[in-house]
Formats: sequence, C-alpha cells, structure tokens
Amino acid sequence: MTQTAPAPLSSKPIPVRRRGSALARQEARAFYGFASPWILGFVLFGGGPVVAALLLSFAHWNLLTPPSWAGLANYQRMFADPLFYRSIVNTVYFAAGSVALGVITSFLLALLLNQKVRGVGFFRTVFYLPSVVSGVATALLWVNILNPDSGLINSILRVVGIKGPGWLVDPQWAIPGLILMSIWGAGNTIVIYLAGLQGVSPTLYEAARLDGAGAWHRFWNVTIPMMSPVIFFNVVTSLIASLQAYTLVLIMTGGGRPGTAGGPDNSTLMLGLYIYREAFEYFDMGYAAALSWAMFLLIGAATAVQFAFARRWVYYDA
Amino acid sequence: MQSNSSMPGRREWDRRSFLKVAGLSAFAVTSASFLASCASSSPTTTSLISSKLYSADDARKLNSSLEWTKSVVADPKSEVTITVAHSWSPSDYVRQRQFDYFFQKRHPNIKIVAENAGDSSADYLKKYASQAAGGDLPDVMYNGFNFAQNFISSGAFLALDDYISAETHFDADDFTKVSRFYYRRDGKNYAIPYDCGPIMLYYNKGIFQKAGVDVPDSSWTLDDLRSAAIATTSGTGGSKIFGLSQPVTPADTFWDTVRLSPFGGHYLTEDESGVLIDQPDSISAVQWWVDMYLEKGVWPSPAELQSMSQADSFTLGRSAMRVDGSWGASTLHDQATFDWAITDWPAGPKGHSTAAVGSAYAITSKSSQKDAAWIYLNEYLSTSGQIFMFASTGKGNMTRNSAWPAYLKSKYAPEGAQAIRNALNNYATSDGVVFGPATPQLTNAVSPIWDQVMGKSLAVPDACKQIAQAVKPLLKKNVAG
Repeated sequence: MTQTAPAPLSSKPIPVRRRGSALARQEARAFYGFASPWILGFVLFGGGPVVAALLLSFAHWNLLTPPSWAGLANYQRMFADPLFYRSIVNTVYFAAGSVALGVITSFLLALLLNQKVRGVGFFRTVFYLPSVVSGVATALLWVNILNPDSGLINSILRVVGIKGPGWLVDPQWAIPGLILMSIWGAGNTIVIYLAGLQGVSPTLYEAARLDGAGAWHRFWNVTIPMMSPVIFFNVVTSLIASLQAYTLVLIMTGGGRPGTAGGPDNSTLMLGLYIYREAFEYFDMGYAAALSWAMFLLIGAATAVQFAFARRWVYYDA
Repeated sequence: MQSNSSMPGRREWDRRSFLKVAGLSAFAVTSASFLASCASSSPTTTSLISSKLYSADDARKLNSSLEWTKSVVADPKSEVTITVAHSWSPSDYVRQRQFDYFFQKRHPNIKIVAENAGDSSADYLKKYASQAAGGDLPDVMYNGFNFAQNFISSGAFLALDDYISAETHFDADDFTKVSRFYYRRDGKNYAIPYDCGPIMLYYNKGIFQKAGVDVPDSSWTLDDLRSAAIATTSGTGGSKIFGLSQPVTPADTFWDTVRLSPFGGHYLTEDESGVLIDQPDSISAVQWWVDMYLEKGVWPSPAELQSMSQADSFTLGRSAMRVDGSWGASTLHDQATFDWAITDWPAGPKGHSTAAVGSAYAITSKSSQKDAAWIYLNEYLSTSGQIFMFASTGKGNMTRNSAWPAYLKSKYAPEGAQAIRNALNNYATSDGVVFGPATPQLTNAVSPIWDQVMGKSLAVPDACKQIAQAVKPLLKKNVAG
C-alpha cells in the first residue's frame, strides 16, 4: 500500500462564497425556508400578541364590547394600585429565594453526581425524574407535603420536637413554602451543570494540584471560575422563569374556592397571578395588558442588571 | 468494502435530498396540524350514543313516552345547522347528545353541532367571552346566572319576548318566578332558565343519631341549627367531625340571603351599588355565625380544609350538615356512602329566606338561524325536555313546575326533595344574591380580610368595617353596568 504525501494546504483553495452568488442565495433561501415555521410562529403567535398587548394597555376592553381608548389610565391606575406593589414584592421575594436556593442546591447536587462512584447513573436518573412530573401533579404533591397537620415536612419536624409552621395557609410561611417546592424541578439545571462540569479540563485540576492546591482551593479557584458562564446562564434563565411563576402558585394556593387564589391575605399573589386575575376573572384586558408590560420590563431590567454585573464574575475561557 | 448506498434497490440519500424530504415532511405535518386545529371539533350527533349511566334503550323509551309539542315556528324547508354551547360534565354530556339525536329525528332539517366546555362555569365564561371578542358566538348558548347580564348588556343576546308570546304552548307562568329574574333587562327576557335550585340544608343522619340530636326538619330555626352544629362537632385531628361542612365567608355569593337576611342584616344594597355590611344588624349577624367557629370550631379551619385536600367534609362523611344548593344532591347520590337527606333552610328571627340561582339558554343576536335556534330552545326547555334532561337523570332543579312531579317520583330524588320545590315556590329569592359585574373583584377584595377573621387576628366588627371600605369603590362597576 503506497502512501501519498498530503497535498500542501495552499494547493486546494477553499471556495469563497461571495454575497450575491448563486450558492449564497440558494443557502439563504434554504435557511429562511427551514427557519420559516419558527419565524411565522413567532410573528403570528408571539410578535402579534406582544404588539396587541401594547396597544391594549392603552385601552379599556372587557372582551364583550369593543375596546375604547384609555390613554395612560391603565398605567396611572397601576402605579396607584397597592396590589400591584404587593404582587411585585411577592414576585421578587419568591424569585430571589427560589433562584438562590435552586442554583446553589442544584450546583451542589451536580458536583455530587459528577463523582466517579458506582451507580451514579441511577442517582442522576433519580434526581432528574421530578423534572418530568407535570406541573399540576407537582403542585398537588407539594400541597400534601406542606400540609400543616399531616404533611411530610411537619411530621419530620414533629419527630425532632419542632412544631412546624402552617406553610401555605400561613401568610408568613406561604412564600417560603413555595420556594421550598421550587427546588423539586432542579433536574434540568443539574443536567446543565453536569455538562459544564464535565467540560472543565482535567489539566487545570492537575496543574492546581501540582501547585499544592487542596480540594477547597481547586473548587474555588478552578471549578467556580470555569463554571461561571454556566452558573450565569442558569441564574438568568431561572430568574426569568421565577418572575413568571403562575401555574404552581395558582394550584397550590388557589384552593379551588372563590377568592382563595393568591393565598391567605394575598401573601402569594404573584404578578403572573394578578395578571390572570385581571384578565380572566375581571375581564379587564387593558389593565392586564398594562400589568403584562410591567412584568416584561421587570424581567428585562432584572436581566440587564445581571448582564451588567456579569463582567465582574463570569469568566469566559478565551 | 462496497458502500450501502450503491446496493441495488436502495435509494441513495445524500445530505441535500435528505434535507429536502425532511423539510417537506415537516411542512406537511405543520400544515396538517394547522388545518386540523382550524377544523370544527364538534361533529353533529348522527347516532344514539349511550353510556353506563345513560343507556340507549332507556333514552329511546323515555323519549317516545314524552309528548313533544310542536313550535308555532315552522321548521326550515332546507337543511340548516345550529351550534349549541353547553357546560356539562363529560358523563352528563352523553344525555345531551341523546336529546340532540332525538331532536334531529323530529326535525330532520335542523342539524345540531354541540359544543361542550366542561362543567366549570369559569372555564366556560373564558371560552365564550374570548369567542365573543372574535365575533364568533354559537347560535344557542348556556348562561350562568352570574355572568348572563354581561352578555345581555353587551347586546350579544336576542330578546326572546316575541318568540315567547307567539308560542301557544310555552306557558311562561309555569317557570318558577325566581328562576326568571337573572336574565331580564329593561323588561325583556334574554334567556330561558333551564335550571334553578335553592340553597338547602343537607344532613348526615348517622352523625345526628350518634350525637343524640334530632334530625332537622322544616320547623327548624337558625338557633336550632346552631345548637345542632355545636352538639355534633366532636373529636380532633383527622377524626374530627364538624357540625357544618364549609366555612361561612363573604366570598359566598349567597351569604346575604342565606346568612344575614334572616337576622335583618345585609351585605350590599339591593342594586349592589352600596354597602350595608358595616351596619349594626349586619355586624351582629356575622358575629352570630363566626362565634360558632371561634368558640367551637364547627366548620373546618383553613388548615383542616387543606388536610382534606379542600374536599367537602360532608361528602367525606365528616360533617353533620352542609349548606349547599339543591344541585349538589345528584353528586351526593353518586358519591355518599352514608344515609343523608335534605330539608328546608331554617328561618331566622327576622325572616325566612334562601337564595336560588341557576342557569339558562339564550339565542345570540348575530345567529343566522334564529328560528331554528328557537325551535330547539322551545323543545329543550319544554316540560318534556326538562323531564328528559333533568327529572329522569336526577340532575334536578327543573325550572318548570310541571316537570317536578316526574323528578319527585324518580329514584334520584333524595329524602326531603319535596322541600326543594317548597323553597322554590315559597321563600327562595334572588334578593341579596351578589351577581353584579364587580362580583369577582368583591370576592378577591374581601377574602384577605376574612382570612384574618378565620385566623382569629381580626375582630368581626373591624372586619365588617374593613370589608365595607374595600368594597365601596369597587361597586362603581356595578353602577356602570
């Protein structure tokens, strides 16, 4: 078998696709063709409602009669509405608590699940399983877990001599109860952390070890900086999801009876739930649209702040 | 080695052709899904369907035993289709389809396309309010007492008085008076009531017997109810028995008529534009009810309700009495594993009243088949229609007095069912029932205040004053209509 020498790199020029060339146009057509379902879906079912919501926020509309121009009335009402501020405080409280608890817990779990131990696949499956349980089932499960009398948590606390709180029926403990519940679906975040952890080069750990770094220093000076983009991603996406919390809150603190959605004393009235209440209980679509834009701006501002601070702690490997 | 791609009889797949086929397939699937979602999901009933609950044979026998009076409105000469929106549970919807089947047999030129939004009134309202916004309402629509006026005031429904007055066998006086109140505006009728039931007193015979307390009867006063509620409350934790199954709350649409009015108190003014809950009679009436809870825990606390997964403690066999609409009897008939009965709502020191509410069917003003819709409505809500739909199924609450004997004779009528009819014709009223446009806001505004009363952190007089303050600005919406 004869082996031919590799051709010099310069002997086969790489074809340059010029803009406007037939090939480039063909590829552009293919790109837009394949992307068109998503683009159409976004424009029709995402972009359209976004624009409509903006217009509606300047109108009064109860669905049954034609919308009437309201100018800034909905926004003026919003800024004077104590429930709006209450819902913002509740939302931020829940989001901060659930993101902090979720990010830390899932990162620590991912570190454990990244160990080379026997049966790690089984443990990874177990920790991911809750993520595939539907929202309603999760809510009903946690209503029982947090039951003040017969719930699992208070039963355990009783064993060690502590009288557990009322959780979802106590205005002081309703949001902590929801925060506790939020770590249930940490499986997705754990998977992302795991992927990130497995992408950290072992050579970095070897070098740190040769420099005399112990386990803690390797974690703090290698793992954390190398994982910072992943942590950042998870913080951003988790915060956006938490600020939009709605389904679980409605089911867990709704109770199915009139006037109970929002928990005792409106203690779990999140912004998402308040928007739902205004839109589909009061049929005040204009005000609900104004609240929706407030939520959008809140999420946008929270994300912008995170990106602004990211430069200080997120390390991107060049 | 020979590659698979050059094997005879196998199609050669290069990247480009694979992407083409994949793209076309994705487009075809997306298009098919889109078109499918646009298509009607409510086919016309063409065969007699049946279920374990509603057999085809029984339906056929019953249908042929009933007299179906013809409308004075002539049937269409060519085939027309009307869409009818319902709010039935999936199991009871079978009966509806059976009615539609026989109706189409009697009226071959009228095809029925039925839509069922499920038995959640809130979900039904969301669906059809959204459809109204899109200008796409069905020809005939179910309506709850609590939201019919929203549609009526927006002009969505047709005034039916011309059809009613022209119909020789309609007999408007046959309807219980209270059932018609909710669907009138400016002296006109916009919907025909199809069910209307009063709030009654249900009781668990076993719990009364065990407590050595006489079971309730029509001579009871609210003081008797209080004594019995206290005497039958016993135990703790998971085995606690409650005197009453549900909390008393201002979020209850009926609390004025049922709880306050018998003591001379009121929640709102009659037109729902003013607040009366902070008046002395009202405060003392509220205090009378709340004392039972604060002193003896006669109904479940929020925590106890949660430990029962918000289920009704009466149905679970853990309450001596339940205060509920007569419409709850059919569910109890199916679910209760204990001996129970119904009796009159007790009289108070200053009066005897209970609330009666229900639902109705209307013809939408933009319907292009109004005559066919009327023929359907006239037959559906005739005595025979009510017997077919309600009296024979135990779903009860007929609005026509003439349909009641059939119900009372049926196996579904609970012990004491005659009291329901007695209430409807004697002391049931719409006065004090809160159903104005601001009702959902009122409910959400008063609930946080009431949570504090139930949590024993706010006294009743203060709560009543806070409720009055919270509710007053919201009532503007009722005035605006």
